[in-house]
Amino acid sequence: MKFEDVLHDIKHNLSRDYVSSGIIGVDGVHLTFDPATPEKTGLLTAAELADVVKDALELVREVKSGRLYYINLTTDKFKVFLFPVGSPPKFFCLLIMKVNGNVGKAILELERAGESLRQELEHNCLV
Amino acid sequence: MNKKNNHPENGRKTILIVDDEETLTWSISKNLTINKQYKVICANSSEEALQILKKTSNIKLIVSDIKMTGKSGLELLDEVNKHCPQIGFIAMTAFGSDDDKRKAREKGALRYIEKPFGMEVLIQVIGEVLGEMGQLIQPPPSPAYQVVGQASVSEVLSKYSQDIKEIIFVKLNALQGDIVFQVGIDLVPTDQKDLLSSGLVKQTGEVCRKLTLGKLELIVIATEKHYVMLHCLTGQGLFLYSLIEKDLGFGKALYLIEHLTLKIAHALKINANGKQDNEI
Repeated sequence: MKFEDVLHDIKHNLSRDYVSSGIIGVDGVHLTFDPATPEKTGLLTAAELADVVKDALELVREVKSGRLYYINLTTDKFKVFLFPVGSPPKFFCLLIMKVNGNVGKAILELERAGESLRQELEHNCLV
Repeated sequence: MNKKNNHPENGRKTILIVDDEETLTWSISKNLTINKQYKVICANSSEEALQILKKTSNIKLIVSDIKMTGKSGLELLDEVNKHCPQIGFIAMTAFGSDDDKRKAREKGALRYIEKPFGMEVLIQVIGEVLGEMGQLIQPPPSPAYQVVGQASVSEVLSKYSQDIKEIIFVKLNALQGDIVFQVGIDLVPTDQKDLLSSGLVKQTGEVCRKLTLGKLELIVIATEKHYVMLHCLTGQGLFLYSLIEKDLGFGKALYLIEHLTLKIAHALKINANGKQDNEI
């Protein structure tokens, strides 16, 4: 399954809650983004989100919490998920949904997508 | 508890008085400390003063006699210039000893004061010198926020962290510049985890603003064992940092922490500066 297909499935399954999604390397370089992502959000240059993941990983190590599952940011406008792929993560899946979106459903979709992405990245020797 | 106000730099400035007349150092010390305005250390020789300087790092000013048995005040000034030039120096000279005044000035003494002098003159000179050095005593800055009903905040935090076994800890942290300090509880001193979490909150808040994602309210980090929740009290420069066993379940953990955040927000009263200066 191609990266774009994985993102398409997330978009389809979350339907009205969905805003945008993408796959980003922890080095800040993105692999792909939902083409519908509005440019004005600046998400397409989302290296900063990789810094958030790196800082969170550091905190998780300090707290001795084990493997990182996901990071969820809630703002007054959106719910943002950063879902790591691979262990240690080299990539993460970004999902942005509406602030009142269904978190449980989003996590389920991300877990499904994460497995597909891991296989795809493995196939491409990226993890 | 606001640790910032406990910082030694917010308290009295330390002055070293050096004179071989013990009665004089005693008298100066009494006068300078009477209003708890300064902290005073006395030495009765240059050698003793040098030993004190080696051991004490926070001395801001030396007030020293020039003519002393053993090393003179001018020799002490040489050593100060060599090893701790940031410390100010006021020379006490005998009346009419113009040569000592000139030498002291050449070596960098900020002022000289002729003996005998009135204590009010010395206090005034010290005030002027510290003022010029930017070390004049200022009243401690008023806290960026005030905690009203601190006991109730402690109570609420303790209740949550003690009654619900899955909550490993809950801490209310504040961001102010790069300083993190806890408010209302004395459970755990600020540690590396606090610094990392405050860095993460600040960084993420900036990223959300930059990417037009809105104002950050909550970060949840789900891991194999825990939920790490960093809940911003929006606009108040504070965040609730909680570590929760994963067994509690995401929904319940989130409900409890949001409930707790609301309770704390009610127990805190933030002054206007705090709101403006510390917005996350």
